[in-house]
Amino acid sequence: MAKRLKNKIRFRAPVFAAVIFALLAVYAASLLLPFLWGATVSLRSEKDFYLNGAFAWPSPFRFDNYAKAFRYIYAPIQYKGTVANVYYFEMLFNSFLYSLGAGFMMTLVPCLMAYVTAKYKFRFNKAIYGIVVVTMILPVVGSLPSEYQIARALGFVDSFLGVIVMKSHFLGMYFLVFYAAFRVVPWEYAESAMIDGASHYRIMLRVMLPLAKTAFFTVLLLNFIALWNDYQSPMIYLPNHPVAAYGFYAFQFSSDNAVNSETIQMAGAMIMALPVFALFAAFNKRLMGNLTVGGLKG
Amino acid sequence: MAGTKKNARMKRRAKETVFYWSIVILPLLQFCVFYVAVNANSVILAFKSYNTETGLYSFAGFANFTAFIRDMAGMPALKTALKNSLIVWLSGLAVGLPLAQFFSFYIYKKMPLHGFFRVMLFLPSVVSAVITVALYKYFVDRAWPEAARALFGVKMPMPLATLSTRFPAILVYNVWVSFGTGILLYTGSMTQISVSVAESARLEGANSFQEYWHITLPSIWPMATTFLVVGVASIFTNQASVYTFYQDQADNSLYMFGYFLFQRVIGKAATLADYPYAAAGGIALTAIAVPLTLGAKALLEKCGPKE
Repeated sequence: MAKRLKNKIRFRAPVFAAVIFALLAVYAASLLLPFLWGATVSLRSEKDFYLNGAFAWPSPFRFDNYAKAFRYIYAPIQYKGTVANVYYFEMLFNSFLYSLGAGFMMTLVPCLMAYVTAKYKFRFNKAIYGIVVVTMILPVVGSLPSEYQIARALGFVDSFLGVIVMKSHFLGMYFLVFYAAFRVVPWEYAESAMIDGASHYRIMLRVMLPLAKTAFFTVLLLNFIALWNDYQSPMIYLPNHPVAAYGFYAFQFSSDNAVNSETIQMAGAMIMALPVFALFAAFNKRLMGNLTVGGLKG
Repeated sequence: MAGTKKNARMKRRAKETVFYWSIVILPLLQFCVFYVAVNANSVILAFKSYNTETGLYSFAGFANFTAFIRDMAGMPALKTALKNSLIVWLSGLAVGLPLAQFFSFYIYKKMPLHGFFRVMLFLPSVVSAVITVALYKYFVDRAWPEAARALFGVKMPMPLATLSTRFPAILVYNVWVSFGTGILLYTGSMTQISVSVAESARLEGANSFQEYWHITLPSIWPMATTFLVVGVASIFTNQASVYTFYQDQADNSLYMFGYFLFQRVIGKAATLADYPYAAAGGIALTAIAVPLTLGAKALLEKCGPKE
């Protein structure tokens, strides 16, 4: 009986692998198809799309869709009492400033906090770790109106510096990622540096942080991409400095008939996806480096 | 001699203390302002009302809480929000979470095409939700019905444009884009498992599924618990991309708590008078979310697999 069961389980194991493979293959196809379909549609004329259906090959190729979408990806802002438009390149610059500035601080702050908490024996460490765990476990819902009020009172609304300060927190999953990374780094390296007369700052910058650089750059890239793709926070806190993601959001809901066709919308989507794909192609190994998090003790 | 040693130790400790506090003080200050003060202000705001004529806030007692609880009991949109929020959370729990773990295991075991699948699974995390929503919206509404007609001869409605299929279509979208960071963290955690443990299990005749069930799952359980516990709060905060799909024009059948509160503050019709109501709603939902989250944590710690 036991032998039969064992054989049965053995027989089922390739099925387990095959089922996951099949699911993954379907998933990959479900992702690639809309992207390829979108790229094809972006090169078709509106007339061709309606006459020949959703799956026809572009004939002729309409690259001018891209020029048109490019012209129409803009966000209206209030400027000196009138409405002005901010166009793609300026929004790209805003995105870069917002993503890099806030992304760097969102990585550096939890990294430094995790380092001192993991490596220095202070009673307050428990409080810091506790704050991270408790804020993760105990959800606070609906604090947006209050946050907006405080940001306004501090003059942080519409200020890149203000928004970066707001984002410079140590809370969340990445603190635990860095904490796990620093826990396994041996302290002997620091002790050797101390014997050589290095200060705590020097040890941190020259010895310990480089040992966690893989985790640091992975988290930095994850934060950068998350912020690059975020349109809601800039929509609320940077209303007169729209970012590219918000520009495309406004483009999607534009009431202008010139951009309301599938072909122009897909061209716009491709224009927006391009910088992120380039970034992903350049850093995909770094981006998908191994990260690990422990449990929530406390 | 002993005094010199003690002095040196004290000097070293003083340097450590200065270093330690120089690192933690600014982040703590930031925490005090943007977490403690924000939430304290949220509580105060919940007890106020805004006078649109004078532009001033005044004490309103429990009026905002009463209004929110009355809406919870009688407003169809909020009843739908409760149902939808639970369905989205459960779909993530029952479909998204096990799939993410199985997929991570497949990648960790370096089975065929694992590198390609890893990139594919991570792709939706790289591309902005506004882009994936646009692609999904047009693909599902324009291409699917045509493909169904051509392949199966079935007349299919446009899922996102049809009232009865909108929510299921959004549900599918949310699972579809949900794997990225989970896959990274799970595979990262799996690579920490000692190779010798997995090898000895193999030598004892364990197959892949048994290895997953008896070795991998208990090893990644602390991380899975983290996801599960944090996920409980998402019942009350998740917008499920409804705002990205429909701005503040979503019909009642798509309401989620996260969406309801967000559009109450950010929507085109929102005014300063809506802030106290939204703050009270947030506090009322927090009061439900906290015991739920703590209960889930205790349950998972008690009932989870042991290494």
